[in-house]
Amino acid sequence: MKDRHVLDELSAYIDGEAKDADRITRHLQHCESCARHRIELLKLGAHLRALPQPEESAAFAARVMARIEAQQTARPFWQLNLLIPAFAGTAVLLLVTTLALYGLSLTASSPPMQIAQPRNTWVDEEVVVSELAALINSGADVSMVEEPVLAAEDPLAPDPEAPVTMDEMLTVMAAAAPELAPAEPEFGEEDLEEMISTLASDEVGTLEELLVEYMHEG
Amino acid sequence: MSQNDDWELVARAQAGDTTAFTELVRRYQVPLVHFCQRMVGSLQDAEDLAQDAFVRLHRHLNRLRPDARFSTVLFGIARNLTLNHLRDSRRRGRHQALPLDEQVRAPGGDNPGHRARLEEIETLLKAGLDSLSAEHREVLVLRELQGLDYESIAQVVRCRKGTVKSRIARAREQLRLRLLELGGQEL
Repeated sequence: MKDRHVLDELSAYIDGEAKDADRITRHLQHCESCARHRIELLKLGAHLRALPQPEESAAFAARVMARIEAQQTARPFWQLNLLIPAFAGTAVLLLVTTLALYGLSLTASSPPMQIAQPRNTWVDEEVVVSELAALINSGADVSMVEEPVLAAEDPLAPDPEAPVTMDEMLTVMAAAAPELAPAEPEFGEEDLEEMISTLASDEVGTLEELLVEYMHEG
Repeated sequence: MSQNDDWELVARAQAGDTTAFTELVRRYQVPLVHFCQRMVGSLQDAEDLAQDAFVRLHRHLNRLRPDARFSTVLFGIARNLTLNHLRDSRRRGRHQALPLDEQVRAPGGDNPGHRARLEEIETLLKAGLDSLSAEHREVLVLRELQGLDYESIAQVVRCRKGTVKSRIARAREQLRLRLLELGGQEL
């Protein structure tokens, strides 16, 4: 197996985080380029750690504690630890209120379903009758109660002015439409008596001959 | 300082012991300011950010639970503050290369030549760090300057451990190449 270079693994190796540290160690023992690179990384780290550090200062801790104390004394109530419970309580209250209002709005805006009633005068009469019955039952004087005005004429209601006999009906019809009136009959009772007397004569042998003759004369 | 000691102080602070929290501030003041300084460049801004981090930690003190390293919690807060600071600085056009007049306290000796050389390296390192992206700079600083392991760094920057590993390797390589460009061949 070929011993490959370990340049990419040297960073983790010098930090003690390499997975295959033993193999890297063996490689470094005979590979000059990788070993030199490791030395450069170690020197780089040493220089970084040699960078001057800030000095410890008692004033630093004093300033931190002063800021903490100032914030605690100046912190308004809404920044105290009560903030979260207060928000939670407000949220629950808003939720309950919203649900309650929503329920009320549903009740108010959604009347029970009604079947559309035709604008029928019979229905109106039933209403009037029921109202009258209620008034009568309550002992009220209904003598002055006017008859309800029907919203529309009932086409099936009997007309008091309608003709009651066939002749009257024909008269009305003739007055309304003269061209439709039946024509005056040309063959009346007098014609029939004359025809019977003729039958007694010897000139006409049969009824059929009489009728044919009558038709030709007409 | 041990993590147990840290959480004991936290527990006492949660009970209202102000001196316990002051002790936490004293313990982590230097590493936190240093981290912020290497992230934002300015020492003054770093101190302000570190103070903000402690104030915020105290504000959420009662929510802290000892299920992680205390240092990762504290550096996580500071890291968010520094990233916000860098973002705001970019918006205002204020972000610039690390100032070279920041408290350069080069260690070492009375030899003027040696001291000048250390100052030069320090200047190069600051410029090199500043050339890195924030996500590469933060993991490198947390590893090299704070000594956090990969798992802790992953908790601070909120990413996978494998991502930390690759970011640190890339940050080192970019910084090494940058220093070579800047003239640090003899680094």
